[in-house]
Amino acid sequence: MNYEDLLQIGPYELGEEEKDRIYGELLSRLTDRHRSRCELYDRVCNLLGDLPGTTRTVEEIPMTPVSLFKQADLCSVPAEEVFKTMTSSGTSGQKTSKIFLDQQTAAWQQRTLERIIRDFIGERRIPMLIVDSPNVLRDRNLFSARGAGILGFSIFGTKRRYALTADMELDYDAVLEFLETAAGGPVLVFGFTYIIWKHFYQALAALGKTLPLENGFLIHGGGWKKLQNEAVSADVFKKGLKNVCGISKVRNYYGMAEQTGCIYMECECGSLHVSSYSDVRIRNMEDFSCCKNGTEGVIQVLTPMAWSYPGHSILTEDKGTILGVDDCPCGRKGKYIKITGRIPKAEVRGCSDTYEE
Amino acid sequence: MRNEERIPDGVTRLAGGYELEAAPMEPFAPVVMDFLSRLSDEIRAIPRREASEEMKALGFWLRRAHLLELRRAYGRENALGLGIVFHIAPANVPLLFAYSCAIGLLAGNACRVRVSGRRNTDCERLCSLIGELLSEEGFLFIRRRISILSYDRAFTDLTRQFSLECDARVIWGGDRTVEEIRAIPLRPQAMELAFPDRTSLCVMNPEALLALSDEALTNLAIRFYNDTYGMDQNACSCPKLVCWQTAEEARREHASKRFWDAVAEASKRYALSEIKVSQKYGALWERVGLDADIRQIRRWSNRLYVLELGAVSEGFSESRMQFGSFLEYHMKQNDEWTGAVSEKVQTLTFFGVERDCLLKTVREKRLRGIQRIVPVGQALFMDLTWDGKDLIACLSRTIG
Repeated sequence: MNYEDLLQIGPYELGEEEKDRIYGELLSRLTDRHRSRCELYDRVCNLLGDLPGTTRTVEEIPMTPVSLFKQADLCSVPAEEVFKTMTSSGTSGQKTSKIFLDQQTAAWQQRTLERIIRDFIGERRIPMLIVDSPNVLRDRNLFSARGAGILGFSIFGTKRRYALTADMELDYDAVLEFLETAAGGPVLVFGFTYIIWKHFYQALAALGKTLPLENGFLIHGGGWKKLQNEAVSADVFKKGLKNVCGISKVRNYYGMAEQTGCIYMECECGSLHVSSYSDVRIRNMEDFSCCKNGTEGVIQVLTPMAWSYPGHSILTEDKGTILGVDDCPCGRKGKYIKITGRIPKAEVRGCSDTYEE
Repeated sequence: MRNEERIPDGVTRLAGGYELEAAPMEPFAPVVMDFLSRLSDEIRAIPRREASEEMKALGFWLRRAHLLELRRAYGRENALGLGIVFHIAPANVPLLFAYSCAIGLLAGNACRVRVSGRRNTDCERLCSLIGELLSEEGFLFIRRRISILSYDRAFTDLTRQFSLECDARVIWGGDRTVEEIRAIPLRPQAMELAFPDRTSLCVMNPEALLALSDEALTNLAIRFYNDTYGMDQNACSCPKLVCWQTAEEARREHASKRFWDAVAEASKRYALSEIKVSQKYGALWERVGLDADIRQIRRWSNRLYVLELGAVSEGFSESRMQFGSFLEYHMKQNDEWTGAVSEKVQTLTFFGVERDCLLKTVREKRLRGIQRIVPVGQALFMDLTWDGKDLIACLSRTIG
């Protein structure tokens, strides 16, 4: 079995036991592959006691800390095979993650996303409203996660319309015209959580206008951090959007630039679902032991998709819990999870400079 | 009370007055000693469970017997303070401002202290104790010799004003803080003491360690813990590197294991938060991944990481070893640790080694670093000789 075969399996039909077996084998072979091609990765794995050539359990696969992608170039393919380098959208002044993709990995990312999203919106392509500025794609110097997200989702749209101008202003008339041509049929609305709230919902609310999106399917991601600061909960977010455009299908997803495509989509019951194409473990930071379902810890994400860089097992800086396995009322198999936020930044002692926030 | 003093907007007065008296006093003036030892009494009267380790240590440091000891060692005839000393204290060593201020007072000066806006409860509590003492009849005039203020670092105008007012400026903090403050001028006759980023190391003798009873070993481990974990291993004097002296291979490995097992045990009391583990594990990958000089990694859950070096170099001072993460090196000659010493190295702690022997090595090898050589357990003790300077001498003048 390889990742190609895994992609043939439906996104939510792999039972846990079988998945553990398949993942143990695939991730072990992938760990060996990365170890033989990425010197830095090999050096750390070796000293952490990882045994090459063996079949590890999923839990035994070494975890690469997500911060390492900001500090080092992690690549497992020759430079000439790097098809594009993706960067995470770090805020100004911070270092950004660098992810090296070959053709194969880039194609897998796209197909993974497609398999997952199709399960929610169906096989047909539909008109798509992108809540962002077209400029985010024009700046080719920075192939950012935001741009990658938009490009990735664009394949689901027959026609595409950007809702915001270059100045991030809502182009109300153009959006209305676009929605009128869709004639009340299904429309995919895509954007980043904060941008949708700030530049779409709040702009509409300020104008005192509405948009006809009763048949829309809104997908948003990118994290709640900024909205949490403004005390906007998932519930407030959904209600607000329903008020300004009648939309009832509003779904969040969790995902990261380091494993683009392997997203965790929110179902109609409000849980984020782990697909067949990736897996999660919740780690107790005292000793990295795995937490029981229902217990909060730090999220580790795993996927055999990460072929061109050693990012197949990543310890994130996010917290969450596994809510259950195989028994979500929505009928999807596999784990379903909840994200509870970032690891809180605590004050650190010592007399060295603490300029970073 | 002079509550009518005008305090600029954005400035919080935490204790003392605002206008300071510039006339100096003699070092270790009786009234200053009285005031500080009374403060020690007040600190030590705080119920045990409400007082942090740092607060207890400060109370102990300020007790009369210790002040008298300091006077014997540092007191001088025919001397006076400089006038006004402006102290800039770091945010993340909560009580350092108090030591700095006490030293300034002992040297015979009036002290203006800027503490960070990110104050903790220790800082608030101490300032309120100081405030109460200063309202006592006998200490009223000390109100014009202490001014503890808090204001945002963005108010550079104030820092500028206080810098022009003072006769000496004391900057605690990292390289960037020192650089930033240094750009603000002082009056021509004023002097400056700056304490930039430093790092520290430890030398141990394997045979001496193996000779310890279990109880003595536990005790040593706790002292080592206090030197390091106590400040998140993030202060200048917290050792990052432990160098073992020569011994038979099996013996030194046994010693190392015995020591770190005991440190791991001591570290069970450490408040290990998720963010600390996240940063520590990230730093481990970065350190090991980017440099090929690590031979072995040992971990005791996520409480203690020990990275064995294949060779020592000055580069160790750049490693982000924090929250209980150590470099270790088994020396082939007993003075090989000197290879790690650059001008950025401050403290050398030791166990099972003669202090004189280490001092002799520092002198004979004419090392650019090492300002203190203290036994394990004393890395964080504040001394009047700091970073190689006699602070009383620096902050006073002898009339010749």
